[in-house]
Amino acid sequence: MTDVAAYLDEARKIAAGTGAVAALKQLEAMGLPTNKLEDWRYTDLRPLRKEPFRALADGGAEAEIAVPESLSSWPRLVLLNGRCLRDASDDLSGTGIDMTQTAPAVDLASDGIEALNFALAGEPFQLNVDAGAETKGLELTLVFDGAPDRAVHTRILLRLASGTSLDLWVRVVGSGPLGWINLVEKIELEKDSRLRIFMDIDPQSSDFVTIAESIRLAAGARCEHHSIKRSAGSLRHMIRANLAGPRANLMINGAALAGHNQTLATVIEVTHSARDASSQQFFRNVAAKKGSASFQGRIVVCEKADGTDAHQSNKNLLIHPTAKANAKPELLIDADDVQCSHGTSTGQLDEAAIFYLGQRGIPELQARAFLTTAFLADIFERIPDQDFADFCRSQSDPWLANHQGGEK
Amino acid sequence: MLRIENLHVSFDGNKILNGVDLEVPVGKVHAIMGPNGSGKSTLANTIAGHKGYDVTSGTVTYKDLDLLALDPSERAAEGVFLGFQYPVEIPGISNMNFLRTALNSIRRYRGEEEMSAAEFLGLLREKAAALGISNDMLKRAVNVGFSGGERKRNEMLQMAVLDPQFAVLDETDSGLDIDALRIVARGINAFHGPEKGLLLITHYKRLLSYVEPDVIHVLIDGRIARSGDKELAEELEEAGYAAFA
Repeated sequence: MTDVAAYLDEARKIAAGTGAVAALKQLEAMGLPTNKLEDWRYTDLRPLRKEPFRALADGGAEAEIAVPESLSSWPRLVLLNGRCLRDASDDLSGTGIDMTQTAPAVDLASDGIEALNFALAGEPFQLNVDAGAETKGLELTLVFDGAPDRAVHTRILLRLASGTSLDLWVRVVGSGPLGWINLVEKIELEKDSRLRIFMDIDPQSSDFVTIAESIRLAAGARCEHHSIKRSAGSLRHMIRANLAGPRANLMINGAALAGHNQTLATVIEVTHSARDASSQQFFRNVAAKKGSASFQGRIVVCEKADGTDAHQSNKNLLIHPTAKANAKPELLIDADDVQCSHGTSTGQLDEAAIFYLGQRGIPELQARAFLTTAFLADIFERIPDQDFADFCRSQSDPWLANHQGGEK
Repeated sequence: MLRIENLHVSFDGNKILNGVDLEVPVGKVHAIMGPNGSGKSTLANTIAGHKGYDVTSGTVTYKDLDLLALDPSERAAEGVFLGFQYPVEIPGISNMNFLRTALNSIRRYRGEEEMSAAEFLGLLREKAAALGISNDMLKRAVNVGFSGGERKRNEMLQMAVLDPQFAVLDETDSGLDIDALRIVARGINAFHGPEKGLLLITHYKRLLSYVEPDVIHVLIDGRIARSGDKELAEELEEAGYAAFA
């Protein structure tokens, strides 16, 4: 493992402001994570063993990049390495969404990688939906570009005021070879607000991707988080949610595709710290030849969080004999009156079904892709935004076509 | 149309078929009857190309094609259909999507144009109505939550839509009540014609009351023990299989 000192040395030269300096102290105290930490057990941390990734200065290159086409019907903001690309973005005036960038406040990082982000991401990109604002939707396209030995640390903050609502498409897209994408998102949902996130994670040729989202839900707040992700070399996606107010509701619904020789780790922690809140998690992983997909899902029910209704379902499909899946569901319950469940399964495609489809004229490779699509179907059917559901299907089909045969 | 010569097949290292000889000419209905474990389903699965069945010797020729050299989807595209004894559940794929994909796969293999969604829907509705299959059933995932009778009717629907040349129906009558049996028999009779071949596999005589076979074969211990006309079914009913062993 690269010594944290190498990162600290560079960060001390760049980090500016109280929040960044405080984050550096946290990094120094925590160090970088290792696989000995339970939450990092299945993350492929080999990229961190190489020469330290150097931070891309001032938000990145000025070079021309190809901005992916807009996919939703909403106004769009395009950020390149965390900085707004004005020419590619829509004017948000009149949308009810306020956009600012200010110096970061002191915040508590959950691990060394998050601390490094806090130290080096510069001014976080903040989106606010203020009370009384009439908002509909926004597409936030996060484009990452740089060089194989560089890291981009980007930090996004989103706050929905009481009673507001927003549909948010988030696209995390790799534009060219990049060493490390380190994205941190912090979402605050105030009382009775409603957020639906539709997240597409497609880092392309990036070597190492760490995405950490934290969501805090106040009383009566509702959040749906729908995602599809294709792996990079090593990808870790963490969602940490706190249902802090009574009657809050959270749904996390995602599909993850781990390609050849790639590692994809999903880590979810949902904490119920108030009464009568509910959460549902649905996660499907598909792993191809020598690919590895893991799911660690923890539900924590705090003392006094009676009336909690929390459920988690994870299924993993291995489409090649060398593919690997790890599943670790956990329930930690300190309250009495709760309903909680979790279930996980891992398996391969049903050979009887492949024969059945073959006997109806569907060639084996097509049958395998067809059955894998079926495995993901209930995730996509749960997506309320038809455009995003169609987009997910359009992404999974070619992925399966490229990965079913065991060769790329 | 289908000629089987000296077919020997093993499953999991056990010899199941021990030299089956059988010829089904075009336009004819043949039935195979036999006790449990005699090799009926092994014969059906071998014709269809199931990988688990190991053909140790013998040939299966279909319209001058070496059927054993083809994979299951190629056999289907050449016109060989297997009606399954236990149709498989496929969660996440609607009946409609499954059938359209299957039909267009076959058409692609044959170098034909794919059928448009509208044309396919018309065909599907016509065939479904003849078998008393509702729109709701067409939208449901393939065989998921279907009763035994619904699964067998679904097999008949697939046969009607895919319109094969030769069908092997493996105990299509098992688990059916009288009304469902009549519907399934109607589907079989609608399929059969002078251009088609049909091999019915059954334990019981009752299906043969609705679908009249030209020849009945008795399969015992992996061999055809006897062949005859429909009177043979009566004889079996009275004497049982033990008399043919």
